[in-house]
Amino acid sequence: MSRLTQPAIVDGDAINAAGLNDRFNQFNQSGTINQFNTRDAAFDLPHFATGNARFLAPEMAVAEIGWNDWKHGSFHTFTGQTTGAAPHRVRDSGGTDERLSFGATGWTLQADDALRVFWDLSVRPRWEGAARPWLNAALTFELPVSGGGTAKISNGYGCWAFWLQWDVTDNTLANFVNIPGQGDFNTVVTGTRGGNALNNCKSTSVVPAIVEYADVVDEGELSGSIVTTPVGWTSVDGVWHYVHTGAALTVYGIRVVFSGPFGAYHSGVNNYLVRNDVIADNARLDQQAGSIQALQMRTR
Amino acid sequence: MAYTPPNTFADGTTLAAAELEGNFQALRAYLHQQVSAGDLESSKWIETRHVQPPDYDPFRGFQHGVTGHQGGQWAGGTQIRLQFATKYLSGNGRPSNDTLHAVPQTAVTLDIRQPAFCLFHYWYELENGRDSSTAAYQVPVEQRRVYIVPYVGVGPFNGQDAYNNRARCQETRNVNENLTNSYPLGLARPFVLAAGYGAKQGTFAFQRTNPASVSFGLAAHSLADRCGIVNWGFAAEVFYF
Repeated sequence: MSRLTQPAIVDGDAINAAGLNDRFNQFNQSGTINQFNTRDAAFDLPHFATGNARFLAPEMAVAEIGWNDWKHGSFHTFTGQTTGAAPHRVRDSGGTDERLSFGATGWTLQADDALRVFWDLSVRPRWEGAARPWLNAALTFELPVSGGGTAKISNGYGCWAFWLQWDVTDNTLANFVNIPGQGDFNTVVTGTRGGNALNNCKSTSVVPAIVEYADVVDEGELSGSIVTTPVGWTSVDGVWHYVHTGAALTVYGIRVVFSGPFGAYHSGVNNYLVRNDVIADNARLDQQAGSIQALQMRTR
Repeated sequence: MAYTPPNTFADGTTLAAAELEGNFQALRAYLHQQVSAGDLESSKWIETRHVQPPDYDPFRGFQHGVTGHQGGQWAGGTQIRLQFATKYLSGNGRPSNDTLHAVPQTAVTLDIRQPAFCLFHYWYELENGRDSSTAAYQVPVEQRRVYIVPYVGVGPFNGQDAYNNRARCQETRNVNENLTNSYPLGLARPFVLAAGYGAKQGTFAFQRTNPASVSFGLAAHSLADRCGIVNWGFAAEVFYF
């Protein structure tokens, strides 16, 4: 109401019809009740019960992805990739690419809206062909051997990388591109090997491709055998939080892609993940199932 | 509809008590229960102070307010709450069996009072194996793994709820070959190097379309006889529509 401003009646005032009517009419406050008529903590859950405003989290989408056979009786197998390759996509049991659709109209991100994405996937990195093929690539350390000489050992130095792409073109979902801050590992970093600087890996998760270690180490020197263990079936997961700036942007879908094998590289200035093209044909990644979920949230 | 006095007065007429009291009665009725949406100012004027602050439940570590639930629990701090998974509760290690058992203490029940978007976040570190059982079924060493699956359900734990989420399972292999088999028992090699030490995390999102008391938690299917879940934590976010 917002406020009643009629002064109080005092001795000597004349009582007439106009004044009396004003005192009642001042309570007619159509469209004006506001904070002056509301106590602190006045509104609780029941006041938010009507409507479907989704005021804090306007949109959510969830999908299972991959080939749902959790005991690994059947799965997809992907071969390692070389510089320039488009990444592999997660596939369902029929071989169709998997993605999380945001519907026919997509989700429109306004400035300061947040997009939160969570995903997971069961995978198995492995190798085929020659034993320890990574000895011919840049995926090893060279350590001194007790009694003289050196030996190469990978020590978990190879990996497969997974990252996110989104479609901000239309709902045909035929125009996926890497999300902001994420490269495709095809920028040549050293020699002919493509890779990403780590500051261009903002949605990247990795899974070790090799587990190898020295059986016995004595004062920094190898004195036992080198043990290589299959990574086996494991899982990889990722989280990406994006706060949008600038003009409104409509996102129609998002998907997980992957490639490998990668290893670390330091240019003297930056740290990179770079491809190991020479052993790509030996690398395999088996893909099973997982999930992806996204949430749009308002921050103001 | 805004208050309108039922009686209007005019000069030169008798001021009747009933008319005066009629206006007061109408005003009382309006102020008690008849303020309508159209009486409210249409521009945004509700401030944070006007909204009931959330209640905090220190036992469960969650708060509940007009936006929903937020909070979580973890196994660290001043005490370690070691948990376990075992094949003896999930089919004795037979790979043809799909039984899942609840991982103790990794669940919480929330009273969700409105339709909502829900996120259940979890993480854990576990040591799976070795498997020394001779009485139960044993799969080859490389197949001895534990599957951790997030679940959501109404009422007590139901293995079917977890099984329905098996696509979301996160599996960790056993560490059989990295544990010594004779005294002193213990680690032969570091877990991390051997890929046997599982540190995993994930998020499970779902939508509730009606109010209910809903349980979130972790379930396990193990193909090894012992699996110690050394550290774990979970958090939940429930956003009411």
